[in-house]
Amino acid sequence: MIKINNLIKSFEETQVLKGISTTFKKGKTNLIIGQSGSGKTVFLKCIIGLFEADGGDIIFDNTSLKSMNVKARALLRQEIGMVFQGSALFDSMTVEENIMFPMRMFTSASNEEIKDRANTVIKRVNLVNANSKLPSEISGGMKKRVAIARAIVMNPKYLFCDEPNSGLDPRTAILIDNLIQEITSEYQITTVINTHDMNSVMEIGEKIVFLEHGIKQWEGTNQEVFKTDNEAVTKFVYSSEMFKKIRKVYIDESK
Amino acid sequence: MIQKTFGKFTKWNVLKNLIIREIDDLIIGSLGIVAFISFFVGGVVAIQTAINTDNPLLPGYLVGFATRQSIILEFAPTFISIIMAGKVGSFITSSLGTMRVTEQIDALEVMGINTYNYLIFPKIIALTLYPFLISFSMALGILGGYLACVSGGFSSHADFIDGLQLDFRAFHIVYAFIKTFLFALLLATIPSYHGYFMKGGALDVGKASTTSFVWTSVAIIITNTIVTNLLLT
Repeated sequence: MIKINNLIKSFEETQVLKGISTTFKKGKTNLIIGQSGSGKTVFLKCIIGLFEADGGDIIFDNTSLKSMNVKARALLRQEIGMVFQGSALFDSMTVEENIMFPMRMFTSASNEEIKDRANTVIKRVNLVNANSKLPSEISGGMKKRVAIARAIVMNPKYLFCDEPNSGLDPRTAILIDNLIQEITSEYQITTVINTHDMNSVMEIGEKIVFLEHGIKQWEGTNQEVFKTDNEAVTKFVYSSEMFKKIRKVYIDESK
Repeated sequence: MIQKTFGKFTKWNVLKNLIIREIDDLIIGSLGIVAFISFFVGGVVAIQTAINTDNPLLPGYLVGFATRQSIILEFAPTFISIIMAGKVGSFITSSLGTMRVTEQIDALEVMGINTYNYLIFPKIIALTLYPFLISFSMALGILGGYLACVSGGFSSHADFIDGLQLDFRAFHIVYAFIKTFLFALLLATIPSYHGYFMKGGALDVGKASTTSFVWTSVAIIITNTIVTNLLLT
């Protein structure tokens, strides 16, 4: 579980996060949604430690980030898996080497043990015949699978995904969403996904946090998002006619 | 940046492979261009010296002497370093810049890796072998000068060899390698800085490479002036 208390972050004069508080539960897919410029990426980068927050606190399973020394923070980072928007695979390494990389860096396991573990996660994310290929030789969907495999190879307690299905066709996007949800539930990971993909909101949003101008405007589940009267959320989520119709059908059916 | 580069070391098994790869990319990969430029510029330096010192009152060994001094004192250490600022420097800046743009550096940081040590330290270590590249350049420059002069009839074999041996001061070699070592540090750190701290997109990688080349060249020229003033005057 990750608990965020009153998180504040500014860049020079501009306050990007204005005191956000929320909780991300273990074994659930937690979504952060909001328009471009709403502070989603900054929020995610503060949680994973790429940005230092100016105020507030982040609590990872009852341990406050503030109370952690450098060594504890380094250990925490080994419990974090991250899937970047552009996958961020290392160009000079093959798919297999990319996946084995965290284990090579942080464990004293033998080469065979590392390969075995890598092959297990490769199978889990359904990567076929890609082990010896370079990232430049595989498709966008496969890159995301490799990024997910690399993120989970160390059995992380926390998984963060920054727009994991951006740039993917709708079918692959749904497959990636489902894969993340399955892995989250199977390994009991606390997963936080930054997205503005409405399919993801509807499909895997077990908890949704809606940000607007650096403020948490609303939070709830994908079922609750159909019923909410929050104007900012409805404007954002139901901006297309198709989603407006889906909402109407859902409300009519639930009456 | 330098302080962090020498802090929290990467696992030796990984670091060793990174250093070997950087030696291959930065030193071994530069041998061809350095050999080509040194050999032909050495030849041109010798021919130019011979053409401009054809007065019968001047001794025949002057061509060999001038070629040796030009190549050892300036051409090999300084001008090859400026060429390397273009080749090696741009390579370092663009590779780190691309890693920054594609979030590969962020990915390393999230894993808890000291990215300065992981990315920059191997480059600094690889470039400590840079004096080897400059020795190679010196040897090929003089060989190019010798072949151009003797085969072109500008100087005899004996005169050229006499000139090469005339008034040889070992300190000139020390001076050349001191400045070569300083240039190696500049070649590793300035382009790394411009690549690592790059902001923006793909277009900015190109801009950062150009900026890095300009600043590395300026730093080399200024360092050359200071070191020459300190050591030779």
